[in-house]
Amino acid sequence: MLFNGSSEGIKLSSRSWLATLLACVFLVPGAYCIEVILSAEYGEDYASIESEYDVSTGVSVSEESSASFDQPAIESVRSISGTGDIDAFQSYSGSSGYLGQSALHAYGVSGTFNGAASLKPSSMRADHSGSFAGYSTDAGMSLTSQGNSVAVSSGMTSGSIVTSQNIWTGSAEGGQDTQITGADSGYIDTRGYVIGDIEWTFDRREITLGVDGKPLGDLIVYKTVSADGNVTFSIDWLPCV
Amino acid sequence: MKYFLLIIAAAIMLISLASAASWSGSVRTDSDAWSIHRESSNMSFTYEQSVLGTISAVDFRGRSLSPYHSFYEDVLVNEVGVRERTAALAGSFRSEEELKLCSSINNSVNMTLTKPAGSDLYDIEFYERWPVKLNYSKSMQYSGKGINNREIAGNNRDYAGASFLYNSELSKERSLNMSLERMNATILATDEAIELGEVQATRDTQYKLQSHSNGIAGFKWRQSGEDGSFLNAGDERFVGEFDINKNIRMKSRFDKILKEDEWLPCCSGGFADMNSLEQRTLKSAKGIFDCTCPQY
Repeated sequence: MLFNGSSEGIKLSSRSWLATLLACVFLVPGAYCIEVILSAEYGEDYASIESEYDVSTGVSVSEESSASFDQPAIESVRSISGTGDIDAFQSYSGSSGYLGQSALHAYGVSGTFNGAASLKPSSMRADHSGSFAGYSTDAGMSLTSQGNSVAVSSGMTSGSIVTSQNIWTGSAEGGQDTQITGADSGYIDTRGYVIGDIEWTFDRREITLGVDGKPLGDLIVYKTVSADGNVTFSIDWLPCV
Repeated sequence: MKYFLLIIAAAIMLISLASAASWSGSVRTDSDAWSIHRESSNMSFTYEQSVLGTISAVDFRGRSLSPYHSFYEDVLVNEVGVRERTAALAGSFRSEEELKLCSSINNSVNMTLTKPAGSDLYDIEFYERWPVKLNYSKSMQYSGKGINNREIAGNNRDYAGASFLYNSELSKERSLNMSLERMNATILATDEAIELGEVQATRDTQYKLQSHSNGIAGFKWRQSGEDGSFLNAGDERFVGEFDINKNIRMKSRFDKILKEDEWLPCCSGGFADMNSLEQRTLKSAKGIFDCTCPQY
């Protein structure tokens, strides 16, 4: 499926390009970061949450996690706000084998970010939402469970973004609501079993793609501005086989 | 009256933690790592025993089994525990003991991470309220060819223990009361390094001992600080015939305080409101109350 949102021609993104993009979103910050892990175990069952932060001095970080043991469970909330650079990564795992991730990479921005996660050995749910304006922001979540996977991500450069993303187990499900405004470039990427609406707003031009809880396959919307100022909107839909 | 009783059974007490709950916490920076692992369960355990007899040889299918008694004991829940080993040759033996242990994991374990804007310092805290209570009294009397007995009681890095080796006469009465109320750990770290790592377990250990021995008697105890260093410790050794009474009480209490980073916190909020790193820099509350804040 292709959509031409400007006077320019249609572009179809390649899977390799998108894979690279997602890899960047979920890239774990490697240098100069702090990592905190809390895990709860009861017999063979466990749940674990791991957080990594690398933020500017002007950014505040707050996280509270609580582990209970009648059956091991972890509830966690966090918030990040301020001005500067933010690399924040969180991963979730349980004894049933699920692996979830939340990632935020924002540079030269001002804004707030909130997250919450509820983990049990065999199930989880995590939500995060953020609102940033500035140079660049990439936010994403992914989940692999019972052989299924879902990934949601969005990002922009030189603009503002408001995004709310979530993942949860059943098999592996997720969704996002994202608005990008006034950006030079951006993308909204949802792949796997997704629930929710995807919105793209730029220069009063709006594209709304509804995804009604059906496994549509990979769905990508992105906009690029070429060196000579031509604007191209591209939608890449890779249906389920 | 003469008893011909062979004590060959080893009294073994093992608290199985197969279905125990545990939690782990860790903090890692570019150059340092700090971690903690705790384990406990909802359980109670009572053990009472009374033994009176003579350790002597026994004929078994034409062979003579050597007179021997051994005792092995390990009890450990959430770093509150006691270990004891006894081995005795032929002689008269009497012991009485009563052990009561209970622990709970009903409360959740909490972790908080805070980094205020304007600072590069992360304040990470783990808070656990998994109480343990252990009461153990024991008396023992022996007279014979020889007995060795060792015991050590530990409570979250504090310990007290005694050993009696190569005694032909030994009597001891020991009472042990240990409790763990809660534990909180504080880690102050930047991206580059861990500045402070403290474990604060609110605990109480009382160890009382009366003994008579004619071999080698040794005693050790230690009370640990928040960073693992010892606050006080002792190591004693007596060779010969001695009557020794001991009463050791080690109590550590930490009241959790709210830590906040504020502009000139020593002036606006007082010493108790400062984070641990700043408290350490200022050493004590003295000099804070006049609000001169010399370090600033």
